[in-house]
Amino acid sequence: MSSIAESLTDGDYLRGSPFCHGGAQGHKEWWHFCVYGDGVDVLINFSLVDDVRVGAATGAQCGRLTLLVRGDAWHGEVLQFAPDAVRAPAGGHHFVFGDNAVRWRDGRYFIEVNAPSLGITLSMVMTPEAMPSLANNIALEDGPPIHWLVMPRARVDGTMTHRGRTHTFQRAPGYHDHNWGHFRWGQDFAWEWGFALAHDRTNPWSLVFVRLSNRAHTRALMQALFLWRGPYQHRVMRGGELTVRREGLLRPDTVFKVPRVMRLICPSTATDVPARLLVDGQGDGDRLRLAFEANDLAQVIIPNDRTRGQTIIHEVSGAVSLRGAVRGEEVALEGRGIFEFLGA
Amino acid sequence: MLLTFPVWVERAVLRLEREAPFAATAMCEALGELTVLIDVEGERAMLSAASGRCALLPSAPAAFAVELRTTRRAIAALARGELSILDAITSGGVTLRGPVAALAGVYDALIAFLEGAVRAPSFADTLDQFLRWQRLRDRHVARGTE
Repeated sequence: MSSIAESLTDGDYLRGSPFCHGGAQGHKEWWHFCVYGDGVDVLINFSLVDDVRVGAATGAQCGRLTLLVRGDAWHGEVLQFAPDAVRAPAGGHHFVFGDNAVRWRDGRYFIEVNAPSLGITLSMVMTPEAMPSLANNIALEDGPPIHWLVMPRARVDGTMTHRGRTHTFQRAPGYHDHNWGHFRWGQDFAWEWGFALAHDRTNPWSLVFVRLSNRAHTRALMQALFLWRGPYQHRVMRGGELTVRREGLLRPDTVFKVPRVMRLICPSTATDVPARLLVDGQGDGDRLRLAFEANDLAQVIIPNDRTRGQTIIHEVSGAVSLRGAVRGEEVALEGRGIFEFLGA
Repeated sequence: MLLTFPVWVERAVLRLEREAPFAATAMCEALGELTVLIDVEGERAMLSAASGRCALLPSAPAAFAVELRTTRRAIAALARGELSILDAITSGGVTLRGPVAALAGVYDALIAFLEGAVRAPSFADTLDQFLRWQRLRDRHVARGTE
């Protein structure tokens, strides 16, 4: 087994909620996958969260599969699964929600989606090409810490049928992350989170940017720009090494929203997503400039856990440019990225 | 089991009180003293929060502040996210009549109801029971046109 596969076997297991064993309630955990096909982008998110709604049974969890397909337009939905249709044991490496599954086996993720109600059938194999980065105990201001693992670069092979059209993925670029922890939707935090993959598959660079802040975006709790060269993490710029600037506002004519029923509650097309996100990094003689130019977006709208109102995850597709020099070596990447902006 | 519109509204409000109490409270506050007549294809429900909690009035009072007319088909399209509330109103699927201030109150109450509906664990089943009638009707119409 390769060192990448070993790292993911050791690090990308499901943590599981302690709620059903008498532990704290409010655990959330998901595996997130993105694939860039030819003319189509696919986002797949398997999530398992404690059911904190009034009237929910003790220890109950909700299995949700978020599917977003971006071709000429966005399409998708959030599918919910009853507890008896969900298998995602703590310590294991798989989510099975009804006829949908993702399994880690032999150093690869096998992803199967069967969503006839959406006209989506998908069978893909994602082969990681970079070492994961694990971040434990990221502090939030008003609650326990959160944790994540990110693997920025993968090769994806497989097929997807979407509304009668079949897309074939051959060595398509892909991305994966895993998040878990105890937090509430509606809590005083937000994130900006994005990845970029080069148009040119021989380009060795890949990156992930993350910034956690309070919900009003007036105070950063942490920020980091992770840079990989080929399979290895090459440089991390953190905190004061980075200056982040948001320019303009993305003003789409229409906004695709899931779950679709949330259109009733959040009909607005106004967003606080920047038209451009600029990140300048400088430290120890290294310098990087990341520019993300937003093109369009879809919204995943989540009712807040304990208060009225919603949390909106904006999945923003755009162009990414990275320039600079690290350890005397020039860094240059032109590519695509999906950035998430959490808003209210 | 098929649910009539008034029975569905009654059950939905009760579930909101139990499973999303903050939404039920917000709905009552938004309605205040307003009485709303909701008419779904001739099935009428008169909703009021004058007693301090949202409830159906047992008999139709002579006056109501706002009248809301719609169809099962429009409710189904709204629930599936095929229509926004604005779409439903501009397309004629939903008709609202009343003074502007009262309409604003009813809109706020509707949003509070929906915020509760998406959080209440048992709401989906109740809605499904209510919409079953429409599905049966659609199937019947489809068979009739074959």
